Amino acid sequence: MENDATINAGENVLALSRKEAIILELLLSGKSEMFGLEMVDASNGSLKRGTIYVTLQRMKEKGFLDSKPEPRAMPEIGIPRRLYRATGLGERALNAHRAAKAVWLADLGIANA
Amino acid sequence: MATNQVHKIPNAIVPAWVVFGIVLISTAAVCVTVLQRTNARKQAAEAKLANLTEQVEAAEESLRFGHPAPVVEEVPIDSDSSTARGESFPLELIKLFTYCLLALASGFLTVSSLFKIRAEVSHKLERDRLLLENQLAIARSLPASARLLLHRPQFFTKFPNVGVSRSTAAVTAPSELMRLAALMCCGIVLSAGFIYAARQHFAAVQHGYEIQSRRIELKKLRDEINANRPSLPASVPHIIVELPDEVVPSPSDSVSYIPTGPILALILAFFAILGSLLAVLRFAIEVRMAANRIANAPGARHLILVDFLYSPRTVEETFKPIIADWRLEYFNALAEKRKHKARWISIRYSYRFALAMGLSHAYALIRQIVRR
Repeated sequence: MENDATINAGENVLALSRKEAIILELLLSGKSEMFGLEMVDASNGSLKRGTIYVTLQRMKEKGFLDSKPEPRAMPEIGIPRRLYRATGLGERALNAHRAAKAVWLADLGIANA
Repeated sequence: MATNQVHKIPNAIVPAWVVFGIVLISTAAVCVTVLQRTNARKQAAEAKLANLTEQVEAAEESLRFGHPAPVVEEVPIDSDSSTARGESFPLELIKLFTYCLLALASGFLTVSSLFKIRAEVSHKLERDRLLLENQLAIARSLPASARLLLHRPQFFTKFPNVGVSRSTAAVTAPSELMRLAALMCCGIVLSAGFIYAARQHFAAVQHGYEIQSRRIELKKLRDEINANRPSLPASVPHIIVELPDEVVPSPSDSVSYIPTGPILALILAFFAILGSLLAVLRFAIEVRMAANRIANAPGARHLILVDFLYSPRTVEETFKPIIADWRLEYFNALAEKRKHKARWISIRYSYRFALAMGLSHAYALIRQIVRR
């Protein structure tokens, strides 16, 4: 029973949605740290301002991402934005996702873009 | 030249003064039309009343002395005077209400313009004071040798305190003041015009009621003459001009429901004063709000709501970054002096905030239920 639960949890952790894959791609291919708004701008409409932070929080809970408040000068007041970066687990999850996608596309006879 | 540059709206299709002029001219045209119409109605009603009074007097004379009275020609009934006579009660009430509303609006407009002029003048004086203080500060910061120039009258021609402020004030204040003064004058003239028109209209209505009572009187006299006709000498012809068929007078027709004369003037004056008081109240509220208002940054209320509904971690990780982005875009738009864009950003981010709160799931659930 415990093994099944672990396997299920592992499957859940490693499962990447389309948006999660896009976010990891952006973080691993471009700048190492990005704001949410930067990711929205860089995604060409794939990511939305209203939902990106929900996705980012979910990815953080899965351990794919890490975040920190933006460093600012002390007198500045207001809510700081958050900087996001991919973790090692996130990188491995993306690699696994790419590999799985390549196999899946090869099975279907479609060249991987 | 400077005045035009300051007040010109760069992308306006129609200049503001044209719109302002059109509004004033149209209102003046309405006022003049109303004045002419009410004047015509009043004159027609007066003529009709005089004619009927003459007829009544002639009938009374013939009845009293038994000799034929001069035949009085009937004045043709003008449609205006006939409508002025005893209009239906709701219509009169609507007209009275309209005149009261116009008096209220005119009073409000006049006093509002007065307050705006006052605010502009105080603003100009404050600007002058600040300019003067700046000039004095600059003069004080000059080296001692240069400061000696301050004691020479020529200095003030080169470095004037009055001249500069006058020319600077000319950039903004006079044009604005003139516009407001013109507005106030127009408000006064229009309110006076409408009040005068109202008085004329209700004077015509009053004449209409008097005409009705004269007709009733005339009918009674005619009946009396007809009843006593055998006793009258044969030489007495039919001296009474026949009443028009349309007139079916009844005693209730001569009762006026709407106040006229001084009472009407008092009512209209009351509404004009009420309008002025409303303008004062509005000004007081504006001043109070400007003094005590602390503007919340966008998203402050949303944050309070999610703080109550969600865990601190969710608030920190999900909602605060959205608000941070919201404020960033909002204040960037404000810095570019694009107020409408800033408002639009607020609207869009409110929607996004709602999405993040899971309302999209609720919407999907409702759609699913509806489809089933």
